[in-house]
Amino acid sequence: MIDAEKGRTPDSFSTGLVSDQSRYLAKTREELIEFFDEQREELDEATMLNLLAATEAALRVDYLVRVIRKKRDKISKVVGKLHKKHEKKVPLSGILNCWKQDAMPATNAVIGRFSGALHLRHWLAHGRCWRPKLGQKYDPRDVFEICDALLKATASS
Amino acid sequence: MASKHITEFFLEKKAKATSSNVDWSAKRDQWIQAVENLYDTVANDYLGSDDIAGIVTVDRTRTKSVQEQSIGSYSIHEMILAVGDEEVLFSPKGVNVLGAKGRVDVRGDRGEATLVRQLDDQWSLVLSRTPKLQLVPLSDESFLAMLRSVMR
Repeated sequence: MIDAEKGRTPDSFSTGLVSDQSRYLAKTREELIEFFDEQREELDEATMLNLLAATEAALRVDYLVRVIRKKRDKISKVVGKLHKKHEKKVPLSGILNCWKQDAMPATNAVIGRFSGALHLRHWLAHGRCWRPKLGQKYDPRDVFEICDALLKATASS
Repeated sequence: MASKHITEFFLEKKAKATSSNVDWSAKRDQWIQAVENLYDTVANDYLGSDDIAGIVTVDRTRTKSVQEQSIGSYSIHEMILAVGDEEVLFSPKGVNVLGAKGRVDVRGDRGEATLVRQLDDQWSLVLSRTPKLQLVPLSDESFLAMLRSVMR
């Protein structure tokens, strides 16, 4: 929607089709483009934070379900040991390590990518108050693919 | 050889560009004159009384260069009001702005304000943009309110 508005609004310079009640009144073309780019960046960052937070929540729910149901598969046994140590205050890294211990190399790679993206999650969740060293540039599509791959990999066990 | 679709695409673009038929030079000149008229109004109508004459200095000699799409680069006057150790700068932003016929930014030590030349050639002050756009016609009262908001 932001991209559509960004494409449509500057057209109003030539068509004259703009309300004098528009919040964009008296903005120059460059200011409008900058405004929409900033909006897009904000939306992208909010989306990425939501994706990473939702994935963390899914992993934590899976952790608790394994503890409550006392499953006997390999992952659940490792999870059980972790729960005895931390109970509900388990760090996310601990949950991810459960999956690493007996995982296939492909799953480890997926976990590694998600762990890398957690630097982005921390930076966003703490108000972007430092200069992040992320190792790569992320967009919502990248983050969706990383989260999706992790949830699919962990759902299979 | 370009496909039929590519040719049509560029022909449409060309037609769209030429259909507006704007005399950009005339638009630029009218804008420069409108800004001079605004400065005249401020200097003569709002600051012209004998009581103020020795207190406020009006400097209209400074120019700035503005670059605008379709118009190119041109020079236009800025205006500086000086009183005591404070200055207020009136700086034209451009004529090609959305939904209006030009904009002048006003900057003081405490903040900024925006003057908009509306489609009927009247100048208005932007009071707020969100949640709803609020404009008031420029008058001695709104001018004073603007100065109070941008000056220390």
